[in-house]
Amino acid sequence: MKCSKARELTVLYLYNDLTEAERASLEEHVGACPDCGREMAESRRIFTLMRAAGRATVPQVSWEKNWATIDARLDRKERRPFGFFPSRGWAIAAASLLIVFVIGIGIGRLLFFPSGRETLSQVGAAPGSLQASLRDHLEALKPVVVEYSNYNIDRNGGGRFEIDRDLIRALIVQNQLLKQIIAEHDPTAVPLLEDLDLVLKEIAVQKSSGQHDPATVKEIIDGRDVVLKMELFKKI
Amino acid sequence: MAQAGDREAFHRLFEAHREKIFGLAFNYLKNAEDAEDVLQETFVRAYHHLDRFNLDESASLSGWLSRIGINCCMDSFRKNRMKTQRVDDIEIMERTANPDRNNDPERSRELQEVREKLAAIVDGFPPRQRMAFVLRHHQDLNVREIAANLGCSQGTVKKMLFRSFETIKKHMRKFLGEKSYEML
Repeated sequence: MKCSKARELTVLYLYNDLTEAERASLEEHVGACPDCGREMAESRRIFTLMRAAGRATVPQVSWEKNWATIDARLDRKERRPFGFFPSRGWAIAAASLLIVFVIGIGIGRLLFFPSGRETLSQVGAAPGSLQASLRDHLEALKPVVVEYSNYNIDRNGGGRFEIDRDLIRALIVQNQLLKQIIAEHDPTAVPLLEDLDLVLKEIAVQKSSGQHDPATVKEIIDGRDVVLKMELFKKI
Repeated sequence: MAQAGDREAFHRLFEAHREKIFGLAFNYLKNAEDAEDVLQETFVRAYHHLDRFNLDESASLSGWLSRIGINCCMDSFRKNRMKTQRVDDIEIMERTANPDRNNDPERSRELQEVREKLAAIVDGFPPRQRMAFVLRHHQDLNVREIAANLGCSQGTVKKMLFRSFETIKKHMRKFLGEKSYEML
């Protein structure tokens, strides 16, 4: 057994979560390797300390009160309670972007379809233009999502992703706005936009906190089949 | 019966699993109020998706509820992180949570410091890694069970637990080195 493998197995050894063969192999290696022997002793010391420190006691809560809240919510079909827009500033930014977004759609339509088949007043809410906006939005998101989806921890070794923080913020707001607008016309697109919301927020949090963890973003993307859903919607 | 929409049967389901789901949420979020939100959200989602639970495949209802609870925990954690830097109430919670077990005030204080330090380290983990650690350390699930609950491979779980313990070791070495007392 290599030292690196022994280090990997140490935590599972301490939790007694190894097979007999793995346990025997690890003990044999640790017995023969002074470095791994010292590392195991140190690990065991810290692990014992973690166990001795114990766990936080779960506080008492009123089950009746919780059931009453659940019971009241069971009859109504509702949106998820964990909302976004953490501050008034975000709401103002979102409203501003909504205006820019709608005007942008209108100008774009006038420039690229000058024949007058659609008037400006028709463009903002027409289902056809919303589908086009959704496709454009998915196209803009594609490079970000695909880059994270293709991340391989063993190959990339935690390499950095050069994605602009402001771009992510703008995409979050655009995603939120599109979700609100499109919900009235095409509710089938909402789950995909909610998944994208989660992906973008995770990236934004990592950018803000400096905790680079593309594997977590990849897990969200893969776990919710985001890439596949995006491809399906682009074909509609 | 709960699957057929029987509210009384669903209430019995709630009674049977509420402590497990709340315990998981509290250990993950370290906040009773957020844990109550997750508890409620878990059972509301479960009720609306009971038809998706397949009784014929001898699936575990407890495991299915746990998976919903895990997703609710991680959703809550991610979205709360976006709102603001959380007020760290772990210290207050833990201070009242573990009574002095061996009547040695000095020892008790030392262990209290370790608990607080450990909670602060785990607070910095990414959501899924944090969940893997909580399921292993607090809920006593083995690697196979954690992988089933998180919907990933056992290899991924092993990597997350390895990374967690390496981070804890790094911080605890520094922490213990700064202390004048010998913990063990």
